[in-house]
Amino acid sequence: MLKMIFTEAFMVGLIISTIRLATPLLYAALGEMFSQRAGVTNIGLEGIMTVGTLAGFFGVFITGNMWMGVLAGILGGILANMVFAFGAITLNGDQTVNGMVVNILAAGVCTYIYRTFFGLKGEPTQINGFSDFNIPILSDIPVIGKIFFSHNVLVYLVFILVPVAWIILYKTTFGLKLRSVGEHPKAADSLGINVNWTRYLALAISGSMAGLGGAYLSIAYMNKYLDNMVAGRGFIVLAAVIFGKWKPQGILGAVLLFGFADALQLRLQALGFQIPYQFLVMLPYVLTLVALVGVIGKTVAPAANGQPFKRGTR
Amino acid sequence: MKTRSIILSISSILLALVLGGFLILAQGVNPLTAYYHLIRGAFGSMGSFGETIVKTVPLIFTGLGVAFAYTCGLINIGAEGQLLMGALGATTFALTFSYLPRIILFPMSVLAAFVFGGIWGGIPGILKAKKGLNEIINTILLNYIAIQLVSWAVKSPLREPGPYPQTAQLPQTAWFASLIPKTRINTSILLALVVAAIVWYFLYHTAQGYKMRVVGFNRHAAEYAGINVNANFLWAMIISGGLAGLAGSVEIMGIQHRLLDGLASGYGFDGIAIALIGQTHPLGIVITAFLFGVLRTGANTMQRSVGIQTSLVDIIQGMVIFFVVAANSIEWLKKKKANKEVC
Repeated sequence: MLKMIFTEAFMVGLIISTIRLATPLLYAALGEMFSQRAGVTNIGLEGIMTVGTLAGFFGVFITGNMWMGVLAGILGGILANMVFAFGAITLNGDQTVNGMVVNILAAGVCTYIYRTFFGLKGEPTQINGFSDFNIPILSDIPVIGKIFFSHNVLVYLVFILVPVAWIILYKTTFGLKLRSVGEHPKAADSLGINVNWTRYLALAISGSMAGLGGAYLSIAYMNKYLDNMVAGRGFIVLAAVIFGKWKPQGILGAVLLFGFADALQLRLQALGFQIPYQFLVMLPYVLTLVALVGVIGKTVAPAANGQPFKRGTR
Repeated sequence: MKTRSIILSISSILLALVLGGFLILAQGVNPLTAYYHLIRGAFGSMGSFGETIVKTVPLIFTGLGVAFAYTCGLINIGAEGQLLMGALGATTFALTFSYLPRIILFPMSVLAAFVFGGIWGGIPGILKAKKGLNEIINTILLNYIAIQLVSWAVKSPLREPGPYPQTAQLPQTAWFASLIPKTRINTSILLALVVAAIVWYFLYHTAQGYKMRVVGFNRHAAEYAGINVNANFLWAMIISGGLAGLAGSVEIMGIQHRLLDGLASGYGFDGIAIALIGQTHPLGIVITAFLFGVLRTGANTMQRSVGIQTSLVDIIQGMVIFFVVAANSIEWLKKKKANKEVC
């Protein structure tokens, strides 16, 4: 049994699918990091990603251009997140409750729209999504080339976004404002920073990233739209942001770990091993729980995360 | 229940139905015809009415569970996992002690569901009370852990010999008795109503319930008043989880009579919507759960008869809770404005 696992083909395949499964998580998690750093926890991420899958699918289906799918996914994600932002920021409602509203609405609306166009039954419609792009020269390196340089463009893009996110968060005025709004909105407000506007911007970022992460699933990973194809990833992302301690590099590590557990579980099942793979699937959640209890103290989280900002209250 | 909140919920439901009607109209179907078929599907025959009730019962429990925590100022997204653990608890107990007489086996199996669900709710409860950890994210995490635990249980230790990943059938002594012949309506509906009444009495007519509501209303004021906030958090989560666990027992002991993979998915999340639309009041929850039961059962008939998809019901539900939540927030904003003027 171990002989089947410790082969080069298995290992290489495992790492490749780890990267591919981590990609949608990484998009959404980097976005959610901005949102939570500004003090908004969005439980509705699952719904935002779902809108991204549908919008991306239709973008490609209608225009035949993959980049239009990317654009549609981003716009769809922003639009859906503005519904959440309206309830959670403008109306000052509970963030969790408004997040659940987005989840329920998105699931219903997306299924409804898709089925209205493609009927109640039948095979899901295939589209021509992104195919793998071998980076010249680099992809010819044995093993390494296959693992790191033979992916579709959206995979490369997300890994470039990790340092970009770090720079925005720590080296720009916007990042500083964002963090101050998440740590101490009242102090930020007294310094003339528009708390609600900053939070809207953060949610536009997280909406676009989650939408793109969703679109990745329908136009680069599967090349079709399926009901509930996000399959809980929106919730995993919330865990990844916490597990990664609200930092881009930490989040990268978290999604790779979660992606690895998922990839390993799928591959061991495919090989027909009689092992309780459920415990592997469970692993990311258990690890996050343990991390929350043990490693991460209260001080790490943005201090005002999850709290509506009510100007003039104490 | 305040009249204002009742009016608010009802007008939200009506508004969502009207907007849903426009969607139906856009498909070239008369909304009244579509809604007629929806009602017919939910009430048209004794059998279909039975299905409506069957769907209503677990929703009452998950709705009560979510509302119980909410009353204490906690948001329990974990009803789904607590339901599954409740189902696992009831199944394990009933199968292990199947030799016991009904008078012991039946109530103990229900209790096992409450305890398992309560433990699953108690974990985030104790983390909240002892470590100040956010219960929202923990309940979400525990949902996934519960799903995998049950999946493992029905595939390995509890699996009955045979082709399907499911447990053996529960002994009949652990079943909810049938209430109306030729339907699947069983005595679990009575349990649901009794539990709703108990929750109502506890929250609104006992000192302990009053304390819990004070904690939910303003935890700092509660602390000043000498109420042990953390103990209330813990107990609210345990009971909240237990109530959701009971939803698992009625699914197992009333309907499926065995545990299987993918059981009752969605009841837990619907519970959140129900608790909010029902304004977290037990009576409001019973009524809203029934409404959800009607929509879910009737939607299938609507889809078969006039080709309007069942997902329309999801959209309507989403809109209802959006309106209720938005209206509550606007109410709050108005109050704030009024206060300012006074100052």
